[in-house]
Amino acid sequence: MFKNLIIILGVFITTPMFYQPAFAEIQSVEMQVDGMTCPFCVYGIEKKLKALQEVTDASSNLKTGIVDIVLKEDAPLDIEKLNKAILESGFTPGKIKIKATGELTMHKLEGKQYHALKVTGTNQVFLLTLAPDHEKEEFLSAEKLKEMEKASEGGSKEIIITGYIHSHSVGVPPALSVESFEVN
Amino acid sequence: MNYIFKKCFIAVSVLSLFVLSIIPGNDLLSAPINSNVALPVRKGGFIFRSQARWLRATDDPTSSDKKLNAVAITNTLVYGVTPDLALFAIFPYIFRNVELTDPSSGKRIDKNDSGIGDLTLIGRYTIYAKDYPSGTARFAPLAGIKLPTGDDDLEPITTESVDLQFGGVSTITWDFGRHEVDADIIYRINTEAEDFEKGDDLFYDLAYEFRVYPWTLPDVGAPNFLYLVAEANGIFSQKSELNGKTIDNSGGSILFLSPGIQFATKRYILEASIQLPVIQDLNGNQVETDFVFTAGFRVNLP
Repeated sequence: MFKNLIIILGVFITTPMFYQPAFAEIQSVEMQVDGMTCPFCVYGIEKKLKALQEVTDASSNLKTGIVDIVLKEDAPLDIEKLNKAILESGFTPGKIKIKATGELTMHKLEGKQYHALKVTGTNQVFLLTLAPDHEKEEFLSAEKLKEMEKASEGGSKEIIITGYIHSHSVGVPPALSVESFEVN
Repeated sequence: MNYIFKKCFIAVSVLSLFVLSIIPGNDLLSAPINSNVALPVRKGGFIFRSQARWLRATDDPTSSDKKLNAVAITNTLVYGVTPDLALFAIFPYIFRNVELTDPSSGKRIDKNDSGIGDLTLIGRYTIYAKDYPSGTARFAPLAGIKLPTGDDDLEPITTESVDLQFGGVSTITWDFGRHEVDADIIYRINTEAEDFEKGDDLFYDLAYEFRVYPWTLPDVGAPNFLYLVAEANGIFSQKSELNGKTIDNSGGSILFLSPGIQFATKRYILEASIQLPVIQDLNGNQVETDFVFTAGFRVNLP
Protein backbone atom coordinates (compact mmCIF):
# COMPACT_ATOMS: atom_id res chain seq x y z
CA MET A 1 0.00 0.00 0.00
CA PHE A 2 2.85 2.29 0.87
CA LYS A 3 4.38 1.52 -2.52
CA ASN A 4 1.12 2.45 -4.30
CA LEU A 5 0.98 5.70 -2.36
CA ILE A 6 4.48 6.59 -3.51
CA ILE A 7 3.49 5.93 -7.11
CA ILE A 8 0.34 8.07 -6.84
CA LEU A 9 2.26 10.91 -5.22
CA GLY A 10 4.92 10.61 -7.86
CA VAL A 11 2.35 11.04 -10.59
CA PHE A 12 0.89 14.15 -8.95
CA ILE A 13 4.30 15.70 -8.42
CA THR A 14 5.81 14.97 -11.82
CA THR A 15 2.80 15.52 -14.04
CA PRO A 16 3.20 19.33 -14.02
CA MET A 17 6.80 18.88 -15.19
CA PHE A 18 5.64 17.18 -18.37
CA TYR A 19 2.45 19.14 -18.89
CA GLN A 20 2.81 21.54 -21.80
CA PRO A 21 0.18 24.26 -21.67
CA ALA A 22 -1.71 24.13 -24.94
CA PHE A 23 -1.65 27.14 -27.23
CA ALA A 24 -3.61 28.03 -30.28
CA GLU A 25 -2.13 26.12 -33.20
CA ILE A 26 -2.61 29.18 -35.34
CA GLN A 27 0.00 31.01 -33.34
CA SER A 28 -0.23 34.42 -34.88
CA VAL A 29 -2.56 36.29 -37.19
CA GLU A 30 -1.47 39.63 -38.62
CA MET A 31 -4.05 41.48 -40.66
CA GLN A 32 -3.31 44.52 -42.78
CA VAL A 33 -5.98 47.21 -42.34
CA ASP A 34 -5.96 50.28 -44.60
CA GLY A 35 -7.20 53.71 -43.56
CA MET A 36 -6.35 53.25 -39.91
CA THR A 37 -4.60 56.50 -39.02
CA CYS A 38 -5.65 57.59 -35.56
CA PRO A 39 -6.03 55.92 -32.15
CA PHE A 40 -9.70 56.90 -31.87
CA CYS A 41 -10.44 55.05 -35.13
CA VAL A 42 -8.58 51.97 -33.92
CA TYR A 43 -11.02 51.45 -31.06
CA GLY A 44 -13.81 50.44 -33.42
CA ILE A 45 -11.60 47.96 -35.27
CA GLU A 46 -10.42 46.22 -32.11
CA LYS A 47 -13.92 46.21 -30.67
CA LYS A 48 -15.36 44.51 -33.75
CA LEU A 49 -12.64 41.86 -33.82
CA LYS A 50 -12.85 41.09 -30.10
CA ALA A 51 -16.59 40.56 -30.50
CA LEU A 52 -15.88 37.51 -32.68
CA GLN A 53 -16.28 34.21 -30.86
CA GLU A 54 -12.93 32.95 -32.12
CA VAL A 55 -10.90 35.97 -31.05
CA THR A 56 -9.48 36.61 -27.59
CA ASP A 57 -7.51 39.76 -28.34
CA ALA A 58 -6.74 42.27 -31.08
CA SER A 59 -4.18 45.05 -30.97
CA SER A 60 -3.34 47.59 -33.64
CA ASN A 61 -0.06 48.99 -34.87
CA LEU A 62 -0.49 52.41 -36.43
CA LYS A 63 3.00 52.45 -37.90
CA THR A 64 2.60 49.28 -39.93
CA GLY A 65 -1.17 49.32 -40.32
CA ILE A 66 -1.30 45.77 -38.99
CA VAL A 67 -3.70 44.37 -36.44
CA ASP A 68 -2.42 41.44 -34.38
CA ILE A 69 -5.21 38.99 -33.69
CA VAL A 70 -5.06 36.26 -31.06
CA LEU A 71 -7.35 33.33 -31.67
CA LYS A 72 -8.81 31.11 -28.97
CA GLU A 73 -7.19 27.76 -28.47
CA ASP A 74 -8.04 25.38 -31.30
CA ALA A 75 -10.29 27.98 -32.90
CA PRO A 76 -10.44 27.85 -36.68
CA LEU A 77 -9.52 30.93 -38.66
CA ASP A 78 -12.42 32.31 -40.67
CA ILE A 79 -11.10 34.80 -43.20
CA GLU A 80 -14.56 36.03 -44.17
CA LYS A 81 -15.48 36.80 -40.57
CA LEU A 82 -12.29 38.79 -40.05
CA ASN A 83 -12.82 40.73 -43.28
CA LYS A 84 -16.41 41.43 -42.34
CA ALA A 85 -15.39 42.75 -38.92
CA ILE A 86 -12.97 45.21 -40.53
CA LEU A 87 -15.52 46.33 -43.12
CA GLU A 88 -18.13 46.88 -40.41
CA SER A 89 -15.70 49.07 -38.54
CA GLY A 90 -15.49 51.27 -41.63
CA PHE A 91 -12.03 50.35 -42.90
CA THR A 92 -10.50 48.19 -45.63
CA PRO A 93 -9.13 44.70 -44.90
CA GLY A 94 -5.90 43.69 -46.57
CA LYS A 95 -3.61 40.69 -46.52
CA ILE A 96 -3.55 38.25 -43.62
CA LYS A 97 -0.33 36.62 -42.51
CA ILE A 98 -0.38 33.67 -40.14
CA LYS A 99 1.94 31.30 -38.36
CA ALA A 100 0.35 27.87 -38.08
CA THR A 101 1.44 24.51 -36.72
CA GLY A 102 0.29 21.29 -38.26
CA GLU A 103 1.19 18.34 -40.38
CA LEU A 104 1.67 18.02 -44.08
CA THR A 105 -1.12 16.15 -45.72
CA MET A 106 -2.89 15.68 -49.02
CA HIS A 107 -6.31 17.21 -49.59
CA LYS A 108 -8.61 15.82 -52.22
CA LEU A 109 -10.55 18.36 -54.22
CA GLU A 110 -12.61 17.67 -57.32
CA GLY A 111 -10.77 14.45 -57.97
CA LYS A 112 -7.30 15.94 -57.57
CA GLN A 113 -4.88 15.76 -54.68
CA TYR A 114 -3.36 18.99 -53.32
CA HIS A 115 -0.61 19.45 -50.77
CA ALA A 116 -2.01 20.95 -47.63
CA LEU A 117 -1.38 21.73 -43.98
CA LYS A 118 -3.77 20.27 -41.44
CA VAL A 119 -3.67 22.51 -38.39
CA THR A 120 -3.03 20.59 -35.20
CA GLY A 121 -6.02 20.13 -32.95
CA THR A 122 -8.52 21.40 -35.48
CA ASN A 123 -10.16 20.28 -38.69
CA GLN A 124 -8.81 23.32 -40.49
CA VAL A 125 -6.88 22.69 -43.68
CA PHE A 126 -4.91 25.17 -45.76
CA LEU A 127 -3.93 24.41 -49.34
CA LEU A 128 -0.25 25.16 -49.68
CA THR A 129 0.81 27.62 -52.38
CA LEU A 130 3.67 29.87 -53.25
CA ALA A 131 1.61 32.91 -54.15
CA PRO A 132 0.21 35.34 -51.53
CA ASP A 133 -2.96 36.15 -53.43
CA HIS A 134 -5.58 34.44 -55.47
CA GLU A 135 -4.82 36.20 -58.75
CA LYS A 136 -1.41 34.61 -59.00
CA GLU A 137 -2.29 31.19 -57.61
CA GLU A 138 0.71 28.95 -57.88
CA PHE A 139 0.85 25.71 -56.04
CA LEU A 140 3.96 24.42 -54.32
CA SER A 141 6.84 23.42 -56.49
CA ALA A 142 8.20 19.90 -56.18
CA GLU A 143 11.51 21.22 -54.83
CA LYS A 144 9.85 23.24 -52.09
CA LEU A 145 7.67 20.34 -51.11
CA LYS A 146 10.60 17.98 -51.00
CA GLU A 147 12.43 20.39 -48.72
CA MET A 148 9.47 20.58 -46.34
CA GLU A 149 8.89 16.83 -46.34
CA LYS A 150 12.51 16.17 -45.61
CA ALA A 151 12.51 18.65 -42.74
CA SER A 152 9.38 17.14 -41.23
CA GLU A 153 10.74 13.64 -41.74
CA GLY A 154 8.06 12.63 -44.13
CA GLY A 155 5.32 14.30 -42.15
CA SER A 156 6.05 12.59 -38.87
CA LYS A 157 7.02 15.86 -37.22
CA GLU A 158 4.87 18.92 -36.90
CA ILE A 159 5.76 21.78 -39.17
CA ILE A 160 5.26 25.48 -38.51
CA ILE A 161 4.50 27.51 -41.62
CA THR A 162 4.46 31.29 -41.87
CA GLY A 163 2.74 32.87 -44.82
CA TYR A 164 -0.18 34.78 -46.27
CA ILE A 165 -3.61 33.28 -46.58
CA HIS A 166 -6.49 33.97 -48.88
CA SER A 167 -9.92 32.45 -49.24
CA HIS A 168 -11.43 30.50 -52.09
CA SER A 169 -15.00 29.83 -53.00
CA VAL A 170 -17.31 27.95 -50.65
CA GLY A 171 -16.22 24.38 -50.11
CA VAL A 172 -12.60 25.00 -51.08
CA PRO A 173 -10.13 25.38 -48.21
CA PRO A 174 -8.23 28.66 -47.98
CA ALA A 175 -4.70 28.85 -49.31
CA LEU A 176 -1.54 29.43 -47.32
CA SER A 177 1.51 30.69 -49.19
CA VAL A 178 4.73 29.30 -47.73
CA GLU A 179 6.95 32.28 -46.91
CA SER A 180 9.02 30.29 -44.42
CA PHE A 181 8.78 27.15 -42.36
CA GLU A 182 10.41 25.42 -39.42
CA VAL A 183 10.03 22.06 -37.80
CA ASN A 184 8.55 21.74 -34.32
CA MET B 1 -41.21 94.27 -19.68
CA ASN B 2 -42.04 97.65 -21.20
CA TYR B 3 -42.61 97.95 -24.92
CA ILE B 4 -39.34 99.77 -25.66
CA PHE B 5 -37.23 97.28 -23.75
CA LYS B 6 -39.01 94.36 -25.37
CA LYS B 7 -38.32 95.82 -28.80
CA CYS B 8 -34.66 96.34 -27.90
CA PHE B 9 -34.41 92.90 -26.44
CA ILE B 10 -35.94 91.30 -29.49
CA ALA B 11 -33.57 93.36 -31.61
CA VAL B 12 -30.52 92.25 -29.73
CA SER B 13 -31.76 88.70 -29.73
CA VAL B 14 -32.19 88.82 -33.46
CA LEU B 15 -28.79 90.43 -33.78
CA SER B 16 -27.32 87.78 -31.61
CA LEU B 17 -28.95 85.09 -33.69
CA PHE B 18 -26.35 85.63 -36.35
CA VAL B 19 -23.43 84.92 -34.12
CA LEU B 20 -25.43 82.43 -32.14
CA SER B 21 -25.95 80.41 -35.32
CA ILE B 22 -22.61 78.93 -34.54
CA ILE B 23 -23.29 78.24 -30.90
CA PRO B 24 -25.74 75.37 -30.56
CA GLY B 25 -23.82 73.39 -32.98
CA ASN B 26 -23.87 72.76 -36.53
CA ASP B 27 -20.82 70.86 -35.51
CA LEU B 28 -21.07 67.21 -36.19
CA LEU B 29 -18.67 64.52 -35.40
CA SER B 30 -15.47 66.41 -35.96
CA ALA B 31 -11.98 65.18 -36.02
CA PRO B 32 -11.12 68.85 -36.03
CA ILE B 33 -12.87 70.90 -33.40
CA ASN B 34 -15.24 73.27 -35.17
CA SER B 35 -15.45 71.58 -38.55
CA ASN B 36 -17.01 68.35 -39.71
CA VAL B 37 -15.35 65.10 -40.69
CA ALA B 38 -16.05 62.11 -42.90
CA LEU B 39 -14.30 59.44 -40.81
CA PRO B 40 -16.34 56.29 -40.16
CA VAL B 41 -18.33 55.17 -37.13
CA ARG B 42 -18.33 51.39 -36.67
CA LYS B 43 -21.58 49.57 -37.34
CA GLY B 44 -23.60 49.43 -34.15
CA GLY B 45 -21.19 51.76 -32.40
CA PHE B 46 -21.95 54.89 -30.39
CA ILE B 47 -19.85 57.99 -29.90
CA PHE B 48 -20.76 60.71 -27.43
CA ARG B 49 -19.45 64.22 -27.72
CA SER B 50 -19.86 67.23 -25.48
CA GLN B 51 -18.58 70.72 -26.10
CA ALA B 52 -18.88 73.89 -24.08
CA ARG B 53 -18.82 76.91 -26.39
CA TRP B 54 -18.57 80.42 -25.00
CA LEU B 55 -19.39 83.25 -27.33
CA ARG B 56 -18.78 86.83 -26.40
CA ALA B 57 -19.99 89.70 -28.53
CA THR B 58 -19.52 93.20 -27.15
CA ASP B 59 -18.62 95.46 -30.02
CA ASP B 60 -21.88 97.35 -30.42
CA PRO B 61 -21.83 100.32 -32.83
CA THR B 62 -24.99 101.81 -31.29
CA SER B 63 -25.52 103.76 -28.08
CA SER B 64 -27.30 100.78 -26.51
CA ASP B 65 -23.86 99.32 -25.84
CA LYS B 66 -25.22 95.80 -26.11
CA LYS B 67 -23.13 93.00 -24.71
CA LEU B 68 -23.85 89.37 -25.26
CA ASN B 69 -22.39 86.34 -23.55
CA ALA B 70 -23.71 82.95 -24.45
CA VAL B 71 -22.57 79.49 -23.46
CA ALA B 72 -23.89 76.42 -25.18
CA ILE B 73 -23.24 72.95 -23.83
CA THR B 74 -23.68 70.98 -27.01
CA ASN B 75 -24.10 67.25 -26.65
CA THR B 76 -23.99 64.98 -29.67
CA LEU B 77 -24.79 61.30 -29.79
CA VAL B 78 -23.59 59.50 -32.91
CA TYR B 79 -24.70 56.06 -34.03
CA GLY B 80 -23.20 53.93 -36.79
CA VAL B 81 -26.14 52.34 -38.60
CA THR B 82 -23.74 50.90 -41.16
CA PRO B 83 -20.08 51.67 -41.79
CA ASP B 84 -21.24 54.28 -44.32
CA LEU B 85 -24.33 55.70 -42.60
CA ALA B 86 -23.99 57.61 -39.35
CA LEU B 87 -26.81 59.37 -37.50
CA PHE B 88 -26.28 62.36 -35.25
CA ALA B 89 -28.53 63.80 -32.57
CA ILE B 90 -27.41 67.22 -31.36
CA PHE B 91 -29.05 68.65 -28.25
CA PRO B 92 -27.68 71.83 -26.74
CA TYR B 93 -28.26 73.54 -23.45
CA ILE B 94 -27.81 77.27 -23.64
CA PHE B 95 -27.05 80.00 -21.16
CA ARG B 96 -27.47 83.56 -22.37
CA ASN B 97 -26.67 86.89 -20.78
CA VAL B 98 -27.63 90.13 -22.49
CA GLU B 99 -26.78 93.61 -21.26
CA LEU B 100 -28.05 96.73 -22.89
CA THR B 101 -28.98 100.29 -22.13
CA ASP B 102 -32.70 101.00 -22.28
CA PRO B 103 -32.91 103.97 -24.64
CA SER B 104 -35.99 105.41 -22.95
CA SER B 105 -34.77 105.36 -19.36
CA GLY B 106 -31.05 105.14 -19.84
CA LYS B 107 -30.99 102.31 -17.36
CA ARG B 108 -28.65 99.45 -17.80
CA ILE B 109 -30.51 96.15 -18.12
CA ASP B 110 -29.00 92.77 -17.48
CA LYS B 111 -31.00 89.70 -18.40
CA ASN B 112 -30.17 86.02 -18.07
CA ASP B 113 -31.84 83.11 -19.76
CA SER B 114 -31.08 79.44 -19.94
CA GLY B 115 -32.71 76.36 -21.28
CA ILE B 116 -32.70 73.53 -23.74
CA GLY B 117 -31.92 74.41 -27.32
CA ASP B 118 -33.59 72.93 -30.37
CA LEU B 119 -32.80 69.32 -31.29
CA THR B 120 -31.01 68.71 -34.58
CA LEU B 121 -30.93 65.31 -36.31
CA ILE B 122 -28.49 64.62 -39.11
CA GLY B 123 -27.64 61.71 -41.35
CA ARG B 124 -24.27 61.40 -43.06
CA TYR B 125 -23.62 58.82 -45.77
CA THR B 126 -20.17 58.06 -47.18
CA ILE B 127 -20.29 57.72 -50.94
CA TYR B 128 -16.58 57.68 -51.59
CA ALA B 129 -13.88 56.05 -49.50
CA LYS B 130 -10.39 55.11 -50.53
CA ASP B 131 -8.19 53.65 -47.82
CA TYR B 132 -4.43 53.33 -47.99
CA PRO B 133 -1.93 51.84 -45.54
CA SER B 134 -0.88 55.39 -44.67
CA GLY B 135 -4.15 57.28 -44.91
CA THR B 136 -7.62 57.66 -46.27
CA ALA B 137 -9.72 59.90 -48.53
CA ARG B 138 -13.48 60.15 -48.04
CA PHE B 139 -16.50 62.15 -49.03
CA ALA B 140 -19.93 62.07 -47.43
CA PRO B 141 -23.03 64.10 -48.20
CA LEU B 142 -25.29 64.87 -45.28
CA ALA B 143 -28.79 66.11 -44.55
CA GLY B 144 -30.50 67.15 -41.36
CA ILE B 145 -33.49 68.70 -39.68
CA LYS B 146 -33.84 71.06 -36.73
CA LEU B 147 -36.92 70.49 -34.62
CA PRO B 148 -38.64 73.11 -32.46
CA THR B 149 -38.06 71.34 -29.17
CA GLY B 150 -36.22 74.06 -27.30
CA ASP B 151 -37.30 76.35 -24.49
CA ASP B 152 -39.40 79.29 -25.57
CA ASP B 153 -37.48 81.53 -23.16
CA LEU B 154 -34.50 81.32 -25.47
CA GLU B 155 -36.34 82.65 -28.49
CA PRO B 156 -35.24 83.54 -31.07
CA ILE B 157 -32.19 81.33 -30.56
CA THR B 158 -34.74 78.56 -30.36
CA THR B 159 -37.53 78.84 -32.87
CA GLU B 160 -40.85 77.21 -33.57
CA SER B 161 -39.76 76.45 -37.10
CA VAL B 162 -38.61 73.19 -38.62
CA ASP B 163 -35.42 73.91 -40.51
CA LEU B 164 -33.58 71.76 -42.99
CA GLN B 165 -29.91 71.51 -43.78
CA PHE B 166 -27.87 69.66 -46.34
CA GLY B 167 -24.30 69.62 -47.51
CA GLY B 168 -21.18 67.52 -47.71
CA VAL B 169 -17.96 66.83 -45.89
CA SER B 170 -14.63 65.45 -47.06
CA THR B 171 -11.61 64.16 -45.18
CA ILE B 172 -8.11 63.32 -46.30
CA THR B 173 -5.40 61.92 -44.06
CA TRP B 174 -1.87 60.96 -45.04
CA ASP B 175 1.55 60.06 -43.74
CA PHE B 176 0.12 57.69 -41.10
CA GLY B 177 -1.98 60.30 -39.41
CA ARG B 178 0.62 63.05 -39.41
CA HIS B 179 -1.63 65.26 -41.53
CA GLU B 180 -5.36 65.61 -41.92
CA VAL B 181 -7.45 68.04 -43.93
CA ASP B 182 -11.22 68.31 -43.56
CA ALA B 183 -13.56 70.50 -45.56
CA ASP B 184 -17.30 70.88 -45.39
CA ILE B 185 -20.08 73.06 -46.70
CA ILE B 186 -23.61 73.10 -45.31
CA TYR B 187 -26.67 75.09 -46.34
CA ARG B 188 -29.43 75.59 -43.82
CA ILE B 189 -32.94 76.49 -44.91
CA ASN B 190 -34.69 78.31 -42.09
CA THR B 191 -38.45 78.37 -42.33
CA GLU B 192 -41.05 80.70 -40.91
CA ALA B 193 -42.84 80.21 -37.61
CA GLU B 194 -44.84 82.68 -35.51
CA ASP B 195 -44.21 85.46 -38.04
CA PHE B 196 -40.45 85.15 -37.69
CA GLU B 197 -38.15 83.68 -40.31
CA LYS B 198 -34.43 83.65 -39.82
CA GLY B 199 -32.43 84.08 -43.00
CA ASP B 200 -30.87 81.02 -44.56
CA ASP B 201 -27.29 80.21 -43.59
CA LEU B 202 -24.33 78.86 -45.52
CA PHE B 203 -21.58 77.34 -43.37
CA TYR B 204 -18.16 76.45 -44.70
CA ASP B 205 -15.18 75.03 -42.88
CA LEU B 206 -11.62 74.09 -43.69
CA ALA B 207 -9.43 72.41 -41.08
CA TYR B 208 -5.87 71.17 -40.97
CA GLU B 209 -4.55 68.92 -38.22
CA PHE B 210 -0.88 68.26 -37.65
CA ARG B 211 0.34 65.55 -35.30
CA VAL B 212 3.15 66.80 -33.10
CA TYR B 213 3.25 63.84 -30.72
CA PRO B 214 4.52 61.29 -31.19
CA TRP B 215 6.78 62.80 -33.80
CA THR B 216 7.71 59.32 -34.97
CA LEU B 217 5.32 56.44 -34.56
CA PRO B 218 6.63 53.66 -32.31
CA ASP B 219 7.20 50.24 -33.81
CA VAL B 220 4.32 48.76 -31.85
CA GLY B 221 0.92 49.82 -30.65
CA ALA B 222 -1.45 52.70 -31.19
CA PRO B 223 -0.09 55.54 -29.06
CA ASN B 224 -2.00 58.61 -27.97
CA PHE B 225 -1.77 61.51 -30.42
CA LEU B 226 -1.41 65.23 -29.83
CA TYR B 227 -2.54 67.45 -32.71
CA LEU B 228 -2.24 71.13 -33.42
CA VAL B 229 -5.33 72.28 -35.28
CA ALA B 230 -5.86 75.26 -37.56
CA GLU B 231 -9.34 76.00 -38.87
CA ALA B 232 -11.13 78.56 -40.97
CA ASN B 233 -14.86 78.63 -40.24
CA GLY B 234 -17.22 80.91 -42.08
CA ILE B 235 -20.90 81.79 -42.27
CA PHE B 236 -22.98 83.67 -44.78
CA SER B 237 -26.45 84.55 -43.50
CA GLN B 238 -29.38 86.11 -45.30
CA LYS B 239 -31.42 88.79 -43.60
CA SER B 240 -34.21 87.66 -41.32
CA GLU B 241 -37.86 88.64 -41.53
CA LEU B 242 -40.33 89.58 -38.83
CA ASN B 243 -44.01 89.94 -39.64
CA GLY B 244 -43.14 89.78 -43.30
CA LYS B 245 -40.72 92.70 -43.11
CA THR B 246 -36.98 92.38 -43.62
CA ILE B 247 -34.90 93.14 -40.57
CA ASP B 248 -32.12 95.37 -41.84
CA ASN B 249 -29.95 94.72 -38.83
CA SER B 250 -29.60 91.02 -39.54
CA GLY B 251 -27.53 88.68 -41.63
CA GLY B 252 -24.10 89.21 -43.08
CA SER B 253 -20.92 87.20 -43.14
CA ILE B 254 -18.24 86.27 -40.70
CA LEU B 255 -15.00 84.36 -41.00
CA PHE B 256 -13.13 82.90 -38.05
CA LEU B 257 -9.59 81.66 -37.85
CA SER B 258 -9.43 79.06 -35.13
CA PRO B 259 -6.26 77.62 -33.63
CA GLY B 260 -6.75 74.65 -31.38
CA ILE B 261 -5.26 71.61 -29.75
CA GLN B 262 -6.47 68.04 -29.53
CA PHE B 263 -5.38 64.98 -27.56
CA ALA B 264 -6.62 61.66 -28.92
CA THR B 265 -6.56 58.20 -27.34
CA LYS B 266 -8.33 55.02 -28.38
CA ARG B 267 -11.21 55.71 -26.08
CA TYR B 268 -11.54 59.48 -25.81
CA ILE B 269 -10.50 62.81 -27.28
CA LEU B 270 -9.94 66.09 -25.41
CA GLU B 271 -9.89 69.35 -27.33
CA ALA B 272 -9.95 73.11 -27.10
CA SER B 273 -9.92 75.96 -29.58
CA ILE B 274 -10.58 79.65 -29.88
CA GLN B 275 -12.34 81.15 -32.88
CA LEU B 276 -11.21 84.68 -33.66
CA PRO B 277 -13.16 86.70 -36.21
CA VAL B 278 -10.96 88.07 -38.96
CA ILE B 279 -13.79 89.23 -41.20
CA GLN B 280 -17.12 90.51 -39.92
CA ASP B 281 -19.35 92.05 -42.51
CA LEU B 282 -22.63 92.34 -40.67
CA ASN B 283 -25.63 94.15 -42.03
CA GLY B 284 -26.79 97.28 -40.22
CA ASN B 285 -25.91 97.84 -36.59
CA GLN B 286 -25.17 94.44 -35.14
CA VAL B 287 -23.04 93.45 -32.21
CA GLU B 288 -19.78 92.01 -33.43
CA THR B 289 -18.26 88.86 -32.02
CA ASP B 290 -15.14 89.07 -29.90
CA PHE B 291 -14.39 85.37 -29.85
CA VAL B 292 -15.80 81.89 -29.43
CA PHE B 293 -13.95 79.61 -27.05
CA THR B 294 -14.62 75.90 -27.23
CA ALA B 295 -13.55 73.03 -24.99
CA GLY B 296 -14.86 69.53 -25.07
CA PHE B 297 -14.41 65.81 -25.21
CA ARG B 298 -15.71 62.83 -27.11
CA VAL B 299 -15.75 59.21 -26.12
CA ASN B 300 -16.16 55.86 -27.87
CA LEU B 301 -18.97 54.24 -25.93
CA PRO B 302 -18.40 50.53 -25.17
